[in-house]
Amino acid sequence: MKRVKTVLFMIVIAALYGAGVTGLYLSSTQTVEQNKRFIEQRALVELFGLGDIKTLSKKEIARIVETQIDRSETLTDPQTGRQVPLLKAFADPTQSTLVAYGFPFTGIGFWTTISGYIAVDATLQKTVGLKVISQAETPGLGARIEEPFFVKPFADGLDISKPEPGKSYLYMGTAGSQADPGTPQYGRTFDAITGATQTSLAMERMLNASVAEFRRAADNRTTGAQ
Amino acid sequence: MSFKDTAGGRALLKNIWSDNPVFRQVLGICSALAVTNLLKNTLLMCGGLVFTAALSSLTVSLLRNYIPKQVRMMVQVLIIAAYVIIVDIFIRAQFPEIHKTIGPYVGLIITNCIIMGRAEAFASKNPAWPSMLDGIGAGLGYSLVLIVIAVVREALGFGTLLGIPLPARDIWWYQWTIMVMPPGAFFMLALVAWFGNSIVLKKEGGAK
Repeated sequence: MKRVKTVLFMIVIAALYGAGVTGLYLSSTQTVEQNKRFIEQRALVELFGLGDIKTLSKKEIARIVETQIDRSETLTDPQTGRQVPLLKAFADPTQSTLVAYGFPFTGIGFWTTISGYIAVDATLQKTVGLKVISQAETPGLGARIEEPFFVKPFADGLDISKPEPGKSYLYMGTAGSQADPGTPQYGRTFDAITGATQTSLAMERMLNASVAEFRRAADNRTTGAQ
Repeated sequence: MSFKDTAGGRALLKNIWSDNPVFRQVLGICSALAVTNLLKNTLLMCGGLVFTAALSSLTVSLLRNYIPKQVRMMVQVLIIAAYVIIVDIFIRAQFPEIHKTIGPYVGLIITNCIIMGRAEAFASKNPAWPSMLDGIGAGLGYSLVLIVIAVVREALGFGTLLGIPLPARDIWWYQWTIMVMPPGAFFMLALVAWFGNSIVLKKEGGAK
């Protein structure tokens, strides 16, 4: 009888707490999804320079993304068959003036997955920006991949045209150094973060993989082989 | 009778200082090392721990006469887990950016020995109100140590406090990278433990 009572007690208390926590979780899912969507929308507006995110409200940011960013096109990497979303950002809601193109990147950082977007110019050969959307690198070290000093070279324009065989699209360099003209690194180098070598190497690896995939898919698009 | 002479008041004050869970009992070390390089993250973690410790102790105390002895630890873990999940859901919904950083450690509050220890050692034997105060005291004692560590680590590692640049940053400040990294937490924890223990032991020695 005592054993039955104990088991019943456990069942009742587990059911009560389980139901309470599940209810709370379900009631918060909408807010969590909204937060996730807003973080991405804010990042895209900032990446393409479509407005000042500090002064814009959540609604205005959502409207800009809805009316000025076209997400309808998807490219195909002929080598792997994988789909690469191609974002087109326009200067106004009528979508008459193209600002830039964009595509996502993702990969494993030092601790966990890093993801974001790279913006490229109309020729699809030069970057015009980089925005990290999700990362959990060490605060103050690897997490500095979100800071202006790290993304500046991408905004200034890094060459992502097809490199010579055996060479990389992008290189990680020592902070403040410049690659010599004529070397494979020239125009393709971004600064590493002091004290966060593993995160910097991970960024170099994942950006090269994403740019290579985009390059193949974009070249496939221009040749009309799709 | 003053507050500090009541059972709850005594438990609360004892847990904050003379029986501090971190530097006297060496509990809750994992999160003390992991979340203290930014004060904002630390405050959220401390808030979560105070909330969980207070309500877990309260609930365990209210149910203490009904919980079968054989399964009391299982029930305590269940109660603690439920409150931790509430904290996790709250931070995920209200502070999504911070949740990305401290999310894994919030989940680990479930296994934090401070909460389990207070539930088993105090709440399962005492009335509700003193138990809740005991839980709050344990949470505040933990918070006291973490906040001290976080203030020093953020100031030296980032030159900021709560993300606001300190005036000295523009004059002479140089980043102490080690304070941002885990070894900085070890050094700070050892210093705080040494400082706290030496004061408490000196006072106890004087009282004898």
